[in-house]
Amino acid sequence: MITAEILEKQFVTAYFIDNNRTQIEVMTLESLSSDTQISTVIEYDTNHPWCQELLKVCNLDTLHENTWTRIQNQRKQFERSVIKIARDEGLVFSTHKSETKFHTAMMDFLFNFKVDQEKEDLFAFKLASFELDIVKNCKDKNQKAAIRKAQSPLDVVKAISDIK
Amino acid sequence: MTVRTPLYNNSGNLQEMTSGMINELIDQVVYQYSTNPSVALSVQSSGGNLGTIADTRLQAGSVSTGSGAAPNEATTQEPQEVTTNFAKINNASASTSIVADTGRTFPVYQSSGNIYAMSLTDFNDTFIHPAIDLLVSGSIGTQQGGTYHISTAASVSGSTEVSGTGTAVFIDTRADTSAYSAGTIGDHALDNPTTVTSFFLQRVNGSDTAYSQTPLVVRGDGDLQVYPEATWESLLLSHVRHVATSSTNGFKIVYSLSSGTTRGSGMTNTILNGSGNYQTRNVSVDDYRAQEFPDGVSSTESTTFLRISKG
Repeated sequence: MITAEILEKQFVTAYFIDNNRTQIEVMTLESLSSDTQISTVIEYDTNHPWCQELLKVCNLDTLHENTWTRIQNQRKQFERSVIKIARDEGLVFSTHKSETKFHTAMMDFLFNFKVDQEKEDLFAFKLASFELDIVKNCKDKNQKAAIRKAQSPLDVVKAISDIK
Repeated sequence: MTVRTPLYNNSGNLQEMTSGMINELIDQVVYQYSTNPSVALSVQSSGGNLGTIADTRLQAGSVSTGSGAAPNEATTQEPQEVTTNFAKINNASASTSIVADTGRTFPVYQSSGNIYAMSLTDFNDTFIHPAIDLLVSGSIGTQQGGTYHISTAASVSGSTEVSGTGTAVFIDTRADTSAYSAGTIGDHALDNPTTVTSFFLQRVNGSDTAYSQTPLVVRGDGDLQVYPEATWESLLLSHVRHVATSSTNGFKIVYSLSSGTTRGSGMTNTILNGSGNYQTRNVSVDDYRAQEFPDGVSSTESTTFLRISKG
C-alpha cells in the first residue's frame, strides 16, 4: 500500500521496471520496526493518488537515476555470477591455477589436440609463445619459423625447446 | 443531474444541510456498501472469470549427448519458456432490488420555500453516485470500503485477504540458476522454479463513520420526521448495492484486468533475459553431455493490474 504516511517513514527506493518507463516498483519497509521490504508496482500516472504521493518523495529525475543505478548493479551482479560459474567449472583460469582445471585443460590441449576444433587456439598459443623472452631474443629465423609452422601445440613446445 | 440539499431538524427548525453534513452521509453510503458489496471478487483455485494472467520463466534446454566430444553450443537446445496460467479471480454481481418510490420514500428538500420529497434520480445524484465515485478511486482507504486491491503482502492493515487462507491470485516465478550445475547435467530437473513474489487479493474494510444529522422524510400522514436510523441505513444499502450492479447511466462498479483505475500493486511477470549458459559434462569416454541453463538478469515481461471503473 502507498500512503503519505508510509512513504514518509518507510520509503526505501523506487525505480522504473520496464523499458517504456511506465511502471514503477516502489520498495517500502513492512513496518517501522522491520527490515523486510514490500514491493508495490504502480503505473506512472500523475492522475493516480499513489503516483502523486510517490512523486512527493521521489521525483521523476530521481526515478530515472535510481533506474539507471539498478540496471548497472544488476549487470554487475550478473557478470560476477557468470564469472563465478565459469571459475567453478574451470572455464576461466584464475591466477590460482591449483584451484582450477587449468592443468587438465592444458594437457588435453597439448596431447589431444583436435585440428578441426582448435585451430584458433593453436594460433593464439603461437602468438603467446612469441611473447616469451626466449623466443623474442632468438636470432635464428629457422627456429622461429618452426614455431610458426607447427601443426600442433606439442610441436610449438618442441620448437621452443629447440631454441635452448 | 440534480443534486438536492436535504433538510434536517435543527432544534425544531427546518434547515438545509451543509456540504460537510452531506459528505458524512455519503461516507455512510460507502460504509453500508462495505458491509455487503454487491460486486464481489472471490479467489478460486482455477477458472476465475476476471481473466488469465500468465507467469513465464525459463527452464534449461534439453540435454544433448555425444561420444568423443560434447555437442557444441550451436546444436544444444536453447532454454525454454515455461508458462503457468493463473485464473483465480472471479467476479460476481449479486441480485439486487431497491425500495420502490412511493413519492414519499426519499429525503425532503426545499425549493422556493416549498418542501418536496426527492425523486429516485435526485436521491442517486445526491447520495449514491458521489459514493460510487469515491468507491472507484485509485486510493484504498476507508472511503473505498468493500472494493478490492492487490498486495504483495498477505496481511494488509485496513484490508481483509479475500481467500482467507493466504492463497495468492498470482505468483511470479523465475528459474533458480543455482539449481543448475555442469556436474549434474542429465541428473537435475529441466525446470527449477523459485518464487519471486506472491500477489494477494484484498478487500478494503469499511469504517462506520458518524453522521451528525439524519435527513427528514414525509410520513404517511404528511408530517415530516427524522428517518429512523435503521430505515435510513437500509435505504442507503439497498440503493448503493443496486446502482453498483445495475446502473443504466454509468455508475456500475466494474472490475477488469485491462481498463480502469489501477487498484493496488501491479502483478509483475519477470523472467531471466539471458540466451543460455552453455555447459558440458564429461561422464565417461563415450558419454559427453551439454546443456544450456537459464541465465541473465531479471526483466519484466508483463505487468497486470487489477482495475476498477464505472460502467
